[in-house]
Amino acid sequence: MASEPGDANAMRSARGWIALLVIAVACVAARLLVARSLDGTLLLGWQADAAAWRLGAVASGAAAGAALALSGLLLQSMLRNPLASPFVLGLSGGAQAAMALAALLAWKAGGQVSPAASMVVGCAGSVLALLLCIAFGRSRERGLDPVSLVLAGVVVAAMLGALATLCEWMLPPPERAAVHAWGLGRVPEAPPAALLTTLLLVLGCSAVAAWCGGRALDAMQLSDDEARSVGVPLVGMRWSIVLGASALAAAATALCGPLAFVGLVAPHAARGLLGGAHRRTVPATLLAGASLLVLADATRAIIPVEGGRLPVGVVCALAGGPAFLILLRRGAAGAWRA
Amino acid sequence: MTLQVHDMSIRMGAFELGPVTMAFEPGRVHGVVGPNASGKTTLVRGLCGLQPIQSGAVTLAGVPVHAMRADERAARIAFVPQRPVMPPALRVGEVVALGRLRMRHDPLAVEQSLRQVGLLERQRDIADALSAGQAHRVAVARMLAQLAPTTQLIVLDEPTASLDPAWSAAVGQVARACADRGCVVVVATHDFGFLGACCDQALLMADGAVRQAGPVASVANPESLSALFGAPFAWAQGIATQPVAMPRW
Repeated sequence: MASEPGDANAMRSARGWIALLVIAVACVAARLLVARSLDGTLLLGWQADAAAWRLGAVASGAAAGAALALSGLLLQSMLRNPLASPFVLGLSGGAQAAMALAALLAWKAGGQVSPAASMVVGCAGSVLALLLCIAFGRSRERGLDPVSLVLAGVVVAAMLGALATLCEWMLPPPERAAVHAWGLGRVPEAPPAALLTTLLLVLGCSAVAAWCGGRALDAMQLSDDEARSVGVPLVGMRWSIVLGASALAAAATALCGPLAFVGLVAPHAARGLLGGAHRRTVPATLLAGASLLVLADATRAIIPVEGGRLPVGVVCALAGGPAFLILLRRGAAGAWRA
Repeated sequence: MTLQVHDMSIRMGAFELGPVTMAFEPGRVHGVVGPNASGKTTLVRGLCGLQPIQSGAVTLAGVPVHAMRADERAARIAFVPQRPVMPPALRVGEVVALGRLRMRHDPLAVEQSLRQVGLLERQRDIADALSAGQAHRVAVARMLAQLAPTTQLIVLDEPTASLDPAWSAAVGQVARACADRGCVVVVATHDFGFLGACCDQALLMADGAVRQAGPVASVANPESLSALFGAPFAWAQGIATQPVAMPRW
């Protein structure tokens, strides 16, 4: 009798993993079998001559989705806030603004920004955005209030979005068009090798660190006093997460542009299927984030729009917005305390 | 293994505590009592290094607690807060296992700790769905799981505030057992039954200062408690092995 609850939990966990894997395979299959040509024609089925492009899109989407999801999970755990995500807290916007500014300054100087430099600049923009949110979302009486933090994120993201738009507007038409398309969000079918490699490197290091520190991440969700009393070096952990989450958001943004809500929804989906322990949630979140963005990219191909192809950022926002509103009603009611 | 406090003062906004100078002996349970906002929580947080101090020093067996690294503090000091937080989506057993974050994972130690607080059968339940009293018992279980031969100080902040009488007595036995294994045990409490039944020493606090300290029977008498709380107290018989002053209604 004593082993029954344990067996039930193992069964539930196994069902969660199987569900995640089946969803991931289905999302990849959908992206490989569905495409839309530049003139807007829907292409169904496997096409050998387009395989490299479609596999490139799957690699880009999976890597960027996993990075955004892990960034969201780390932020939610550090801030004890179910509404935290790289987009909501302005990390994606910070990276976008910094990269657009770097592109403008480089154009003025007659040069171009290398992918590595773009990512470093984007990471700095993300860190700055997150620190601004934390500074303005904290009150002396209530600490980091979840709703205040999100409101601060909305304002910071709006200001950084305006900065990015200004930089884009000051560029000449060819560069402006490229920055504009990137700003709408797109999953590249032929990702630049340097960007994809850097993203995979940042993702790999962050994922291993998050999995190894999974129990410390669990403990960070206790109160500060409790976390410190069981041995969590809070200051060091928080700085590591600020840098890690920012680097992940910046690397994903450099490749795919600012994408909304993937980093918010994926950790909740992973927790819903496999519980809250980070040793399980970290890999599950990576899988869920990768699946979500690949699915969004496949959906983009299915929906016909005037003038060619729907930007994937639009799909993410349309699908993720309602999820955010549902979480706002549930989470802000006090499920998680800051 | 004495906990020595020398000229410790703490400032939190307009509130000031101290300076406090005193020694907490191992093998004894020290009860800290005083009115609301008298500084009990600030004092006990200062004792275990969780609250920064403005001046003075707190040393445990000669080691300054405010200079300890996180893992060293976890090895020497265990703490149960006034309002424990249960992380979302974690199970009760997983929350208790966090007490062994800096030690080898030991499911048997976790089960044993949960058994002591009567929550073994709830170990696979989601922790943040528990009642306040059960959450407090989970925090006590986590403290028990954290205990190691290196543990020297145990601090409990109002551990019985949400508990029924049976579990208050059980937590008292836990505190007593920790003292018997040679730890310094400090308990902030409003529970005078707990004070009389489980504590050897009493500290009376008011307005951020320690007014009196000494054996419970001599310090926590009706006169001093009446003066401290501004409410009548009287000796109660048959509650504990030593005389206990209780509020008179």
